[in-house]
Amino acid sequence: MKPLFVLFITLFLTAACASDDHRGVIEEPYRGLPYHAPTTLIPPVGVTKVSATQLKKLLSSGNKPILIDVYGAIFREESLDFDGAWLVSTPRKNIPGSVWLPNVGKQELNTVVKEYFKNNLIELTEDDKSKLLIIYCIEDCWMAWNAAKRAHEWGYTNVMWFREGIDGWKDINGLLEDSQPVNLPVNE
Amino acid sequence: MKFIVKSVFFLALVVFSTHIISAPNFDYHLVPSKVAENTYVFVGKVEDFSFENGGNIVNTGFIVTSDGVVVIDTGSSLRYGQQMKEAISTVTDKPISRVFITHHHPDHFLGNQAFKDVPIIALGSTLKNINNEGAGFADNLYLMVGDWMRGTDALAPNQIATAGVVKIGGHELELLSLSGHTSGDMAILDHSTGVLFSGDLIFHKRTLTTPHADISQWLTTLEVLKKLPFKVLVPGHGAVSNDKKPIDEMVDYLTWLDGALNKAVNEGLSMTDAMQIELPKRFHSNALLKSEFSRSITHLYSSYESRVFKRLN
Repeated sequence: MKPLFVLFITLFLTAACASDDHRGVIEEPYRGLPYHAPTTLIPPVGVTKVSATQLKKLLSSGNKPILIDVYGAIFREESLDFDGAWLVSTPRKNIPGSVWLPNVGKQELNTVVKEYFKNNLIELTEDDKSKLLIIYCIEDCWMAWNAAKRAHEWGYTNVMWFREGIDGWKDINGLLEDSQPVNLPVNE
Repeated sequence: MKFIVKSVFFLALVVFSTHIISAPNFDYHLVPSKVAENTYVFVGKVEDFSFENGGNIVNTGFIVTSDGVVVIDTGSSLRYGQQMKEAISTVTDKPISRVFITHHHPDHFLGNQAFKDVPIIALGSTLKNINNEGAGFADNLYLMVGDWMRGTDALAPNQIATAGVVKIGGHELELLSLSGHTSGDMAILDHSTGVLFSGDLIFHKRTLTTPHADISQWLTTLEVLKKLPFKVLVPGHGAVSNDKKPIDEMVDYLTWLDGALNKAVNEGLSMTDAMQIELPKRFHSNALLKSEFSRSITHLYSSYESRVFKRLN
Protein backbone atom coordinates (compact mmCIF):
# COMPACT_ATOMS: atom_id res chain seq x y z
CA MET A 1 0.00 0.00 0.00
CA LYS A 2 2.73 2.39 1.03
CA PRO A 3 4.94 1.95 -2.04
CA LEU A 4 1.89 2.40 -4.24
CA PHE A 5 1.09 5.66 -2.48
CA VAL A 6 4.64 6.89 -3.00
CA LEU A 7 4.47 5.94 -6.65
CA PHE A 8 1.17 7.81 -6.96
CA ILE A 9 2.62 10.93 -5.32
CA THR A 10 5.72 10.72 -7.51
CA LEU A 11 3.63 10.42 -10.64
CA PHE A 12 1.42 13.27 -9.54
CA LEU A 13 4.40 15.53 -8.86
CA THR A 14 6.08 14.59 -12.13
CA ALA A 15 2.91 15.41 -13.97
CA ALA A 16 2.64 18.73 -12.15
CA CYS A 17 6.25 19.61 -12.97
CA ALA A 18 5.79 18.58 -16.58
CA SER A 19 2.78 20.81 -16.95
CA ASP A 20 4.73 23.66 -15.32
CA ASP A 21 7.55 23.11 -17.77
CA HIS A 22 5.05 23.11 -20.56
CA ARG A 23 3.56 26.39 -19.40
CA GLY A 24 7.07 27.87 -19.44
CA VAL A 25 7.45 27.33 -23.18
CA ILE A 26 4.03 28.50 -24.29
CA GLU A 27 4.91 31.09 -26.88
CA GLU A 28 3.41 34.43 -27.67
CA PRO A 29 1.05 34.10 -30.61
CA TYR A 30 1.70 35.75 -33.97
CA ARG A 31 0.66 39.39 -33.90
CA GLY A 32 -2.12 40.66 -36.14
CA LEU A 33 -3.11 44.16 -37.21
CA PRO A 34 -1.93 46.82 -36.68
CA TYR A 35 1.49 45.69 -37.89
CA HIS A 36 2.92 49.20 -37.54
CA ALA A 37 2.99 49.68 -33.79
CA PRO A 38 5.70 49.66 -31.14
CA THR A 39 6.85 46.06 -30.74
CA THR A 40 8.05 44.22 -27.70
CA LEU A 41 11.79 44.44 -26.99
CA ILE A 42 11.87 40.66 -26.50
CA PRO A 43 12.52 38.52 -29.56
CA PRO A 44 10.38 35.46 -30.27
CA VAL A 45 11.46 32.31 -28.44
CA GLY A 46 14.54 30.80 -30.09
CA VAL A 47 15.42 33.99 -31.95
CA THR A 48 18.12 36.47 -30.92
CA LYS A 49 18.02 40.21 -31.27
CA VAL A 50 20.67 42.11 -33.19
CA SER A 51 21.38 45.84 -32.94
CA ALA A 52 22.38 48.12 -35.80
CA THR A 53 25.99 48.33 -34.67
CA GLN A 54 26.22 44.56 -34.18
CA LEU A 55 24.75 44.09 -37.64
CA LYS A 56 27.32 46.46 -39.13
CA LYS A 57 30.11 44.35 -37.61
CA LEU A 58 28.51 41.13 -38.84
CA LEU A 59 28.28 42.52 -42.37
CA SER A 60 31.96 43.39 -42.44
CA SER A 61 32.93 39.93 -41.17
CA GLY A 62 33.80 37.06 -43.48
CA ASN A 63 30.67 35.10 -42.65
CA LYS A 64 27.97 37.25 -44.23
CA PRO A 65 24.42 36.73 -42.96
CA ILE A 66 21.37 36.47 -45.18
CA LEU A 67 19.41 39.73 -44.90
CA ILE A 68 15.67 39.51 -45.34
CA ASP A 69 13.47 42.61 -45.52
CA VAL A 70 9.81 41.73 -44.89
CA TYR A 71 8.24 45.19 -45.37
CA GLY A 72 4.67 44.92 -46.66
CA ALA A 73 3.39 45.23 -50.22
CA ILE A 74 0.04 44.50 -51.81
CA PHE A 75 -0.67 40.91 -52.84
CA ARG A 76 -2.87 40.55 -55.90
CA GLU A 77 -4.20 37.13 -56.77
CA GLU A 78 -4.48 38.14 -60.43
CA SER A 79 -0.77 38.96 -60.72
CA LEU A 80 -0.09 35.21 -60.35
CA ASP A 81 -1.44 34.80 -63.89
CA PHE A 82 1.13 37.30 -65.18
CA ASP A 83 4.53 38.07 -63.69
CA GLY A 84 3.81 37.47 -59.98
CA ALA A 85 4.77 41.06 -59.14
CA TRP A 86 3.83 42.65 -55.84
CA LEU A 87 2.14 46.04 -55.88
CA VAL A 88 4.49 48.49 -54.20
CA SER A 89 2.88 51.76 -53.10
CA THR A 90 6.04 53.80 -52.48
CA PRO A 91 9.63 53.10 -53.56
CA ARG A 92 11.54 51.24 -50.89
CA LYS A 93 15.16 51.45 -49.88
CA ASN A 94 16.73 48.80 -47.70
CA ILE A 95 20.10 47.52 -46.52
CA PRO A 96 22.38 46.66 -49.48
CA GLY A 97 22.47 42.94 -50.17
CA SER A 98 19.01 42.32 -48.73
CA VAL A 99 16.31 40.18 -50.24
CA TRP A 100 12.86 41.74 -50.00
CA LEU A 101 10.13 39.19 -49.27
CA PRO A 102 6.95 41.20 -48.55
CA ASN A 103 4.20 40.09 -46.17
CA VAL A 104 5.90 36.87 -44.99
CA GLY A 105 5.51 38.21 -41.46
CA LYS A 106 1.74 38.56 -41.52
CA GLN A 107 -0.19 36.85 -38.76
CA GLU A 108 -1.42 34.17 -41.14
CA LEU A 109 -0.07 33.34 -44.58
CA ASN A 110 -2.11 32.19 -47.52
CA THR A 111 -0.76 29.09 -49.28
CA VAL A 112 0.97 31.06 -52.02
CA VAL A 113 2.89 33.35 -49.67
CA LYS A 114 3.71 30.49 -47.32
CA GLU A 115 5.27 28.43 -50.13
CA TYR A 116 7.00 31.58 -51.41
CA PHE A 117 8.63 32.18 -48.01
CA LYS A 118 9.57 28.50 -47.58
CA ASN A 119 11.08 28.17 -51.04
CA ASN A 120 12.96 31.44 -50.86
CA LEU A 121 14.45 30.41 -47.51
CA ILE A 122 15.56 27.06 -48.98
CA GLU A 123 17.14 28.81 -51.95
CA LEU A 124 18.83 31.53 -49.89
CA THR A 125 20.28 29.08 -47.35
CA GLU A 126 21.08 26.41 -49.94
CA ASP A 127 18.90 24.22 -47.74
CA ASP A 128 21.21 24.63 -44.76
CA LYS A 129 19.04 25.28 -41.69
CA SER A 130 22.01 26.53 -39.67
CA LYS A 131 22.73 29.55 -41.93
CA LEU A 132 22.40 32.93 -40.21
CA LEU A 133 19.19 34.77 -41.17
CA ILE A 134 18.61 38.41 -40.20
CA ILE A 135 15.01 39.54 -40.50
CA TYR A 136 13.87 43.18 -40.43
CA CYS A 137 11.56 45.85 -41.87
CA ILE A 138 11.17 49.21 -40.08
CA GLU A 139 11.14 50.17 -36.43
CA ASP A 140 7.75 49.39 -34.86
CA CYS A 141 7.06 46.51 -37.26
CA TRP A 142 5.47 43.33 -36.00
CA MET A 143 5.89 41.66 -39.38
CA ALA A 144 9.64 41.28 -38.79
CA TRP A 145 8.99 39.77 -35.35
CA ASN A 146 6.40 37.37 -36.81
CA ALA A 147 8.64 36.36 -39.73
CA ALA A 148 11.61 35.64 -37.43
CA LYS A 149 9.36 33.51 -35.23
CA ARG A 150 8.07 31.66 -38.29
CA ALA A 151 11.54 30.90 -39.67
CA HIS A 152 12.59 29.55 -36.28
CA GLU A 153 9.49 27.37 -36.07
CA TRP A 154 10.29 25.99 -39.51
CA GLY A 155 13.56 24.69 -38.12
CA TYR A 156 16.06 27.46 -38.88
CA THR A 157 18.39 27.45 -35.91
CA ASN A 158 20.22 30.73 -36.38
CA VAL A 159 17.63 33.47 -36.75
CA MET A 160 18.16 37.06 -35.69
CA TRP A 161 15.60 39.82 -35.41
CA PHE A 162 16.81 43.32 -36.26
CA ARG A 163 14.09 45.17 -34.40
CA GLU A 164 14.90 48.72 -35.52
CA GLY A 165 15.04 47.84 -39.23
CA ILE A 166 15.95 50.50 -41.78
CA ASP A 167 15.15 53.29 -39.31
CA GLY A 168 17.74 51.98 -36.87
CA TRP A 169 20.13 51.50 -39.78
CA LYS A 170 19.68 55.17 -40.72
CA ASP A 171 20.36 56.13 -37.10
CA ILE A 172 23.92 54.88 -37.46
CA ASN A 173 24.20 56.47 -40.93
CA GLY A 174 24.05 53.09 -42.64
CA LEU A 175 23.63 53.19 -46.42
CA LEU A 176 20.37 52.19 -48.04
CA GLU A 177 19.72 51.31 -51.65
CA ASP A 178 16.65 50.97 -53.88
CA SER A 179 15.03 47.59 -53.67
CA GLN A 180 12.39 45.56 -55.45
CA PRO A 181 10.54 42.63 -53.90
CA VAL A 182 11.14 39.10 -55.16
CA ASN A 183 8.22 38.15 -57.44
CA LEU A 184 5.76 35.47 -56.44
CA PRO A 185 5.74 32.16 -58.31
CA VAL A 186 3.33 32.40 -61.25
CA ASN A 187 0.61 29.90 -62.05
CA GLU A 188 1.56 27.08 -64.40
CA MET B 1 7.84 84.55 -69.96
CA LYS B 2 6.97 85.93 -66.58
CA PHE B 3 5.21 82.62 -65.87
CA ILE B 4 8.31 80.63 -66.81
CA VAL B 5 10.53 82.75 -64.58
CA LYS B 6 8.06 82.34 -61.76
CA SER B 7 7.86 78.56 -62.33
CA VAL B 8 11.62 78.17 -62.34
CA PHE B 9 11.87 80.21 -59.18
CA PHE B 10 9.15 78.13 -57.56
CA LEU B 11 10.81 74.86 -58.60
CA ALA B 12 14.13 76.04 -57.25
CA LEU B 13 12.41 76.96 -54.01
CA VAL B 14 10.74 73.55 -53.78
CA VAL B 15 14.01 71.70 -54.47
CA PHE B 16 15.88 73.91 -52.03
CA SER B 17 13.31 73.65 -49.27
CA THR B 18 12.77 69.88 -49.54
CA HIS B 19 16.53 69.52 -49.48
CA ILE B 20 16.65 71.28 -46.16
CA ILE B 21 13.70 69.44 -44.67
CA SER B 22 14.70 66.01 -45.92
CA ALA B 23 17.71 65.75 -43.64
CA PRO B 24 15.54 64.19 -40.97
CA ASN B 25 16.49 64.96 -37.42
CA PHE B 26 12.80 64.53 -36.63
CA ASP B 27 12.48 68.01 -35.20
CA TYR B 28 9.02 69.57 -35.67
CA HIS B 29 10.41 73.01 -34.76
CA LEU B 30 7.47 73.70 -32.48
CA VAL B 31 7.46 77.35 -31.48
CA PRO B 32 4.76 78.52 -29.07
CA SER B 33 2.97 81.59 -30.36
CA LYS B 34 1.20 83.71 -27.77
CA VAL B 35 -2.43 84.42 -28.67
CA ALA B 36 -3.68 85.82 -25.34
CA GLU B 37 -2.66 86.13 -21.70
CA ASN B 38 -1.17 82.76 -20.60
CA THR B 39 -2.34 81.17 -23.85
CA TYR B 40 -0.15 79.73 -26.59
CA VAL B 41 -0.65 77.89 -29.86
CA PHE B 42 1.60 75.68 -32.00
CA VAL B 43 0.42 76.48 -35.51
CA GLY B 44 0.81 73.58 -37.96
CA LYS B 45 1.15 73.67 -41.73
CA VAL B 46 -1.98 73.75 -43.89
CA GLU B 47 -0.97 70.59 -45.73
CA ASP B 48 -1.88 66.94 -45.89
CA PHE B 49 0.28 64.39 -44.03
CA SER B 50 3.69 63.84 -45.62
CA PHE B 51 7.14 62.63 -44.67
CA GLU B 52 8.38 66.21 -45.16
CA ASN B 53 6.01 67.71 -42.56
CA GLY B 54 6.08 64.64 -40.31
CA GLY B 55 2.40 65.14 -39.56
CA ASN B 56 2.78 68.68 -38.20
CA ILE B 57 -0.39 69.84 -39.92
CA VAL B 58 -2.46 70.61 -36.86
CA ASN B 59 -2.87 73.37 -34.28
CA THR B 60 -2.34 72.40 -30.66
CA GLY B 61 -2.17 74.73 -27.68
CA PHE B 62 -1.76 75.25 -23.99
CA ILE B 63 -2.88 77.54 -21.18
CA VAL B 64 -0.57 78.33 -18.28
CA THR B 65 -2.66 78.50 -15.10
CA SER B 66 -1.68 78.81 -11.43
CA ASP B 67 -2.74 75.17 -11.11
CA GLY B 68 -0.41 73.89 -13.82
CA VAL B 69 -0.49 73.83 -17.59
CA VAL B 70 -3.61 72.77 -19.50
CA VAL B 71 -2.74 71.17 -22.85
CA ILE B 72 -5.22 71.08 -25.72
CA ASP B 73 -4.56 68.27 -28.22
CA THR B 74 -1.25 66.43 -28.40
CA GLY B 75 -0.37 66.27 -32.11
CA SER B 76 0.30 63.45 -34.52
CA SER B 77 3.00 61.28 -32.91
CA LEU B 78 4.90 60.44 -29.76
CA ARG B 79 7.76 62.64 -31.01
CA TYR B 80 5.31 65.54 -31.45
CA GLY B 81 4.01 65.12 -27.90
CA GLN B 82 7.52 64.97 -26.46
CA GLN B 83 8.65 68.02 -28.42
CA MET B 84 5.50 69.86 -27.41
CA LYS B 85 6.36 69.22 -23.76
CA GLU B 86 9.88 70.57 -24.30
CA ALA B 87 8.55 73.66 -26.05
CA ILE B 88 6.07 74.28 -23.22
CA SER B 89 8.94 74.16 -20.72
CA THR B 90 10.61 77.07 -22.52
CA VAL B 91 7.60 79.22 -21.55
CA THR B 92 6.86 78.04 -18.01
CA ASP B 93 8.33 75.78 -15.37
CA LYS B 94 4.84 74.88 -14.12
CA PRO B 95 4.02 71.18 -14.49
CA ILE B 96 1.43 69.96 -16.95
CA SER B 97 -1.72 69.24 -14.97
CA ARG B 98 -4.11 67.89 -17.58
CA VAL B 99 -4.75 67.38 -21.27
CA PHE B 100 -7.95 67.90 -23.25
CA ILE B 101 -8.45 66.04 -26.54
CA THR B 102 -10.89 67.77 -28.89
CA HIS B 103 -11.76 64.71 -31.03
CA HIS B 104 -10.51 61.31 -32.19
CA HIS B 105 -8.58 62.18 -35.36
CA PRO B 106 -4.96 61.00 -35.32
CA ASP B 107 -3.27 64.40 -35.70
CA HIS B 108 -4.97 65.51 -32.47
CA PHE B 109 -4.23 62.71 -30.03
CA LEU B 110 -1.31 60.49 -31.10
CA GLY B 111 1.06 62.51 -28.90
CA ASN B 112 -0.82 61.26 -25.81
CA GLN B 113 1.93 58.88 -24.67
CA ALA B 114 4.09 61.91 -23.78
CA PHE B 115 1.38 62.94 -21.29
CA LYS B 116 0.46 59.54 -19.91
CA ASP B 117 1.07 60.54 -16.27
CA VAL B 118 -1.64 63.22 -16.15
CA PRO B 119 -5.39 63.11 -16.76
CA ILE B 120 -6.11 62.98 -20.52
CA ILE B 121 -9.69 64.12 -20.86
CA ALA B 122 -12.08 63.70 -23.79
CA LEU B 123 -15.77 63.32 -24.53
CA GLY B 124 -17.16 59.79 -24.08
CA SER B 125 -17.84 59.53 -27.82
CA THR B 126 -14.22 60.49 -28.55
CA LEU B 127 -12.96 57.78 -26.21
CA LYS B 128 -15.19 55.25 -27.93
CA ASN B 129 -14.00 56.37 -31.37
CA ILE B 130 -10.34 56.15 -30.34
CA ASN B 131 -10.85 52.65 -28.96
CA ASN B 132 -12.46 51.63 -32.25
CA GLU B 133 -10.23 53.36 -34.76
CA GLY B 134 -7.10 54.67 -33.01
CA ALA B 135 -4.73 51.77 -33.71
CA GLY B 136 -5.75 51.69 -37.37
CA PHE B 137 -5.08 55.44 -37.68
CA ALA B 138 -1.59 55.01 -36.23
CA ASP B 139 -0.88 52.05 -38.53
CA ASN B 140 -1.86 54.16 -41.51
CA LEU B 141 0.21 57.17 -40.42
CA TYR B 142 3.36 55.03 -40.38
CA LEU B 143 2.81 54.67 -44.13
CA MET B 144 2.35 58.42 -44.63
CA VAL B 145 5.03 59.96 -42.40
CA GLY B 146 7.37 57.01 -41.73
CA ASP B 147 9.87 57.14 -38.89
CA TRP B 148 8.38 60.35 -37.43
CA MET B 149 5.98 57.87 -35.85
CA ARG B 150 8.64 55.85 -34.02
CA GLY B 151 7.29 54.47 -30.76
CA THR B 152 3.77 55.82 -31.30
CA ASP B 153 0.88 53.84 -29.86
CA ALA B 154 -2.72 55.01 -29.91
CA LEU B 155 -3.08 55.80 -26.21
CA ALA B 156 -6.73 56.45 -25.36
CA PRO B 157 -7.79 59.26 -23.01
CA ASN B 158 -8.10 58.14 -19.38
CA GLN B 159 -10.90 60.44 -18.23
CA ILE B 160 -14.28 61.41 -19.63
CA ALA B 161 -15.14 65.10 -19.87
CA THR B 162 -18.33 66.56 -18.46
CA ALA B 163 -19.70 69.46 -20.48
CA GLY B 164 -19.89 72.71 -18.55
CA VAL B 165 -17.64 75.19 -16.80
CA VAL B 166 -14.53 74.10 -14.90
CA LYS B 167 -12.33 76.47 -12.92
CA ILE B 168 -8.66 75.67 -13.27
CA GLY B 169 -6.03 77.86 -11.62
CA GLY B 170 -7.79 81.18 -12.24
CA HIS B 171 -9.13 80.26 -15.68
CA GLU B 172 -12.79 79.58 -16.25
CA LEU B 173 -12.97 76.97 -19.01
CA GLU B 174 -16.23 76.02 -20.64
CA LEU B 175 -16.19 72.57 -22.21
CA LEU B 176 -18.74 72.27 -25.02
CA SER B 177 -19.90 68.85 -26.16
CA LEU B 178 -20.62 69.25 -29.87
CA SER B 179 -20.56 67.22 -33.07
CA GLY B 180 -20.62 67.52 -36.86
CA HIS B 181 -16.99 67.15 -37.87
CA THR B 182 -17.08 63.85 -35.99
CA SER B 183 -19.58 62.29 -33.59
CA GLY B 184 -17.73 63.90 -30.68
CA ASP B 185 -16.19 67.36 -31.03
CA MET B 186 -15.19 69.23 -27.90
CA ALA B 187 -14.70 72.98 -28.13
CA ILE B 188 -13.13 74.83 -25.22
CA LEU B 189 -13.92 78.46 -24.43
CA ASP B 190 -11.70 80.17 -21.88
CA HIS B 191 -14.01 82.83 -20.42
CA SER B 192 -11.05 84.43 -18.66
CA THR B 193 -9.21 85.29 -21.86
CA GLY B 194 -11.91 84.96 -24.52
CA VAL B 195 -9.96 82.30 -26.41
CA LEU B 196 -12.01 79.63 -28.17
CA PHE B 197 -10.25 76.39 -29.07
CA SER B 198 -12.63 75.04 -31.70
CA GLY B 199 -10.81 71.84 -32.66
CA ASP B 200 -11.65 70.77 -36.21
CA LEU B 201 -15.11 72.33 -36.08
CA ILE B 202 -13.22 75.19 -37.74
CA PHE B 203 -10.74 74.95 -40.60
CA HIS B 204 -9.43 78.39 -41.50
CA LYS B 205 -8.39 78.97 -45.13
CA ARG B 206 -7.77 75.23 -45.29
CA THR B 207 -10.48 73.09 -46.87
CA LEU B 208 -12.34 71.07 -44.26
CA THR B 209 -12.22 67.28 -44.09
CA THR B 210 -15.23 64.97 -43.87
CA PRO B 211 -14.28 61.34 -43.15
CA HIS B 212 -16.65 61.26 -40.18
CA ALA B 213 -18.73 64.35 -40.88
CA ASP B 214 -22.45 64.99 -40.63
CA ILE B 215 -22.98 68.18 -42.62
CA SER B 216 -26.36 69.27 -41.27
CA GLN B 217 -25.22 68.62 -37.71
CA TRP B 218 -22.01 70.54 -38.41
CA LEU B 219 -24.02 73.54 -39.68
CA THR B 220 -26.14 73.50 -36.52
CA THR B 221 -22.99 73.42 -34.40
CA LEU B 222 -21.50 76.38 -36.27
CA GLU B 223 -24.54 78.45 -35.25
CA VAL B 224 -23.74 77.56 -31.62
CA LEU B 225 -20.10 78.62 -32.03
CA LYS B 226 -21.14 81.88 -33.64
CA LYS B 227 -23.06 82.90 -30.54
CA LEU B 228 -20.13 82.30 -28.18
CA PRO B 229 -18.51 85.43 -26.73
CA PHE B 230 -14.96 84.74 -27.93
CA LYS B 231 -12.26 87.24 -28.89
CA VAL B 232 -9.68 84.85 -30.28
CA LEU B 233 -10.47 81.79 -32.37
CA VAL B 234 -7.95 78.95 -32.49
CA PRO B 235 -9.06 76.64 -35.32
CA GLY B 236 -7.96 73.01 -35.62
CA HIS B 237 -6.17 73.87 -38.85
CA GLY B 238 -5.12 77.24 -40.26
CA ALA B 239 -4.31 80.66 -38.85
CA VAL B 240 -5.60 81.99 -35.53
CA SER B 241 -8.28 84.63 -36.02
CA ASN B 242 -9.72 87.56 -34.06
CA ASP B 243 -13.16 87.56 -35.61
CA LYS B 244 -16.03 85.31 -36.64
CA LYS B 245 -15.21 85.35 -40.33
CA PRO B 246 -13.79 81.80 -40.35
CA ILE B 247 -17.15 80.54 -39.05
CA ASP B 248 -19.04 82.30 -41.84
CA GLU B 249 -16.62 80.82 -44.37
CA MET B 250 -17.22 77.35 -42.94
CA VAL B 251 -20.99 77.80 -43.22
CA ASP B 252 -20.56 79.06 -46.78
CA TYR B 253 -18.48 76.07 -47.90
CA LEU B 254 -20.56 73.42 -46.10
CA THR B 255 -23.79 74.88 -47.51
CA TRP B 256 -22.30 74.95 -50.99
CA LEU B 257 -20.94 71.38 -50.61
CA ASP B 258 -24.32 70.09 -49.47
CA GLY B 259 -26.08 71.77 -52.40
CA ALA B 260 -23.46 70.68 -54.93
CA LEU B 261 -23.66 67.03 -53.85
CA ASN B 262 -27.45 67.10 -53.91
CA LYS B 263 -27.47 68.58 -57.39
CA ALA B 264 -24.86 66.14 -58.69
CA VAL B 265 -26.77 63.15 -57.37
CA ASN B 266 -30.04 64.41 -58.83
CA GLU B 267 -28.37 64.89 -62.21
CA GLY B 268 -27.21 61.28 -62.03
CA LEU B 269 -23.49 62.07 -62.02
CA SER B 270 -21.08 59.30 -61.07
CA MET B 271 -18.58 59.94 -58.30
CA THR B 272 -15.76 60.55 -60.75
CA ASP B 273 -17.95 62.99 -62.72
CA ALA B 274 -18.88 64.77 -59.52
CA MET B 275 -15.20 65.22 -58.72
CA GLN B 276 -14.93 67.34 -61.88
CA ILE B 277 -17.54 69.88 -60.74
CA GLU B 278 -16.28 73.42 -61.10
CA LEU B 279 -15.34 74.78 -57.68
CA PRO B 280 -16.47 78.35 -56.94
CA LYS B 281 -13.75 81.01 -57.18
CA ARG B 282 -14.35 82.23 -53.63
CA PHE B 283 -12.95 78.95 -52.27
CA HIS B 284 -9.86 78.89 -54.49
CA SER B 285 -7.65 80.51 -51.89
CA ASN B 286 -8.37 77.70 -49.40
CA ALA B 287 -5.53 75.20 -49.14
CA LEU B 288 -6.12 71.67 -50.53
CA LEU B 289 -9.48 72.61 -52.09
CA LYS B 290 -9.37 70.18 -55.02
CA SER B 291 -8.05 67.18 -53.11
CA GLU B 292 -10.33 67.63 -50.10
CA PHE B 293 -13.37 68.14 -52.31
CA SER B 294 -12.58 64.84 -54.04
CA ARG B 295 -12.08 63.14 -50.69
CA SER B 296 -15.42 64.51 -49.50
CA ILE B 297 -17.09 62.95 -52.53
CA THR B 298 -15.69 59.56 -51.56
CA HIS B 299 -16.84 60.06 -47.97
CA LEU B 300 -20.30 61.46 -48.58
CA TYR B 301 -21.56 60.64 -52.07
CA SER B 302 -23.17 57.30 -51.33
CA SER B 303 -25.23 58.78 -48.48
CA TYR B 304 -26.56 61.46 -50.85
CA GLU B 305 -27.31 58.83 -53.49
CA SER B 306 -29.22 56.67 -51.05
CA ARG B 307 -31.46 59.62 -50.22
CA VAL B 308 -32.42 60.07 -53.88
CA PHE B 309 -32.40 56.54 -55.23
CA LYS B 310 -34.86 54.24 -53.51
CA ARG B 311 -34.73 50.48 -53.67
CA LEU B 312 -37.42 49.02 -55.86
CA ASN B 313 -37.37 45.49 -54.52
